Amino acid sequence: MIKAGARLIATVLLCLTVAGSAYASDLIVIIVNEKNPTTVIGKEELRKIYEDRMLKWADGTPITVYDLAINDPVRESFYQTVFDTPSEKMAEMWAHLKITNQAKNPPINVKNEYRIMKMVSMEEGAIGYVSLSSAKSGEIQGLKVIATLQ
Amino acid sequence: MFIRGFLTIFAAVALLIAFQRPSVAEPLDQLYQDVETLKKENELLQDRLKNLEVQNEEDSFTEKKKVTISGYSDIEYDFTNQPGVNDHFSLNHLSLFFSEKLLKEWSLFSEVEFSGGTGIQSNTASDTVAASQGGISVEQMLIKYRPAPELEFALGRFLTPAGLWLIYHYPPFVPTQQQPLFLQNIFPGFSDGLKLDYTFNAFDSTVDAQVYVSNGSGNPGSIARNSGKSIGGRLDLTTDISDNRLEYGASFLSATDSTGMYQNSYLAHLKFNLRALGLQTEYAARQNMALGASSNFWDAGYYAQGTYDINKWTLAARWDWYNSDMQTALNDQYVYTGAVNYHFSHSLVGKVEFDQYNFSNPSMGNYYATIVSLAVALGDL
Repeated sequence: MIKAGARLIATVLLCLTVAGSAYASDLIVIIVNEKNPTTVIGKEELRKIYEDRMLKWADGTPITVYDLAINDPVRESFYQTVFDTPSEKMAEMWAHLKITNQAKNPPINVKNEYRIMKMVSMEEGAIGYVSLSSAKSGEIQGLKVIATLQ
Repeated sequence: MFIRGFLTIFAAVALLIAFQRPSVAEPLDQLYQDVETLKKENELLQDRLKNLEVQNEEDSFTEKKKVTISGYSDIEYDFTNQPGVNDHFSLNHLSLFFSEKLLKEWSLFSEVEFSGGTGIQSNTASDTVAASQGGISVEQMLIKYRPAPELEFALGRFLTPAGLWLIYHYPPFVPTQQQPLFLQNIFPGFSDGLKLDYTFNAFDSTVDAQVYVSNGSGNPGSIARNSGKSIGGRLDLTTDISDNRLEYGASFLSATDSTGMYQNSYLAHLKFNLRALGLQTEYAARQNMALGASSNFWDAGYYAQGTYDINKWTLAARWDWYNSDMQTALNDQYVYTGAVNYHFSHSLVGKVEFDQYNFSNPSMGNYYATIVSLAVALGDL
């Protein structure tokens, strides 16, 4: 009985570990509208876009920035990878920019990755990030991947 | 006979089974088909639901007709040995922000601030709201026109574009409750006028340029007593060095205050973020010339602040100096500050801060203040 209990706990722990590592290992991709002429983007440009320092694409199209909710694990992973900063720190920065009236192009927060893909597929200048598995689901057409974050 | 009878029964059973088989399989197949149909219907319904949710969100984005309310507040308890001041609670600020997108290019932004524990009434007849019950002020009120993402015109009351702290000073997002000494001495906290903001990228740097014309120092409201308007500007450059960020720039303001004093103010700022380590420093100086007088004097201030983030904690230290008239060192004031912040979330922070105030003038007694505070940002920020 005790052995069975221990085995059950071990199995649950193993499942949790595998589930956690599977999530953490899911890559993040940067998506834009398929009409966007940009084919590739680097971390430096991404930082500029998500820090309000790059407002237009090279062809002059205004950039619309999409972001996930503050506590979303994909968002946390994105900011850790691109900025080496917790997602909450970036939220603080944006809040301060907004109340000081300095925010020029704040990101639009949406509830889930599906919505980011949907919005980016509909707006020519839009940019967003989603997990690779969501991007691969092929649920939404009209998107283009321009970077994969390791 | 027995064999014939057995074969007959066997044949009858076989026939029965043969006929019964399809009748068992049929309902099963039917069930499978039904399940498949339900699955497809479910998928279609889920897709429709997602589309409806997205459509709903798009509508909320595109309409933007509603007024958005946000704000911040901070409450503190001060322990101090400053003569004549008791330890006390203080409702420092309650600021409310209202914003609305009027048209695609037009928007409105305002901030109404209740500071110092504002009370409209006092039990003591001689009290004024400003003196003992805090104050109510319109800190920002702008009608903004943004014809392009990089260009904005703003008309109304705005935070004077100078340096860093004068703009980025809100308690939930700065490590200390006390502000550097030169603030609001050398540049006015806010200005009434017209502001132009232009952002562009050059040589791997992002350049933010602001120029404005306003009523100037001492004339924040509608009673502009100066003969001319003040003119100011701010240039800010941000560049990435490896994965770290360097921000630097300069500000200028030429104004005549309400007492007829002609003033030229200058400021240089620098901010550097090296992963969890942050350094921020500003130097400001102002030339003061009384109209018709041959002499002039300068006042100046400087601070250097370091911060270090460890998970939800921020440690901060600042050295601060201000001299109200550089002709004599007796006017030197210093504040040495140490602070610890704990960020419960991005909109709620607890702070403990120690400030030691020292004066060169022996008639001014040195003192300290320890401030325990809680600051919160409200609404959709």
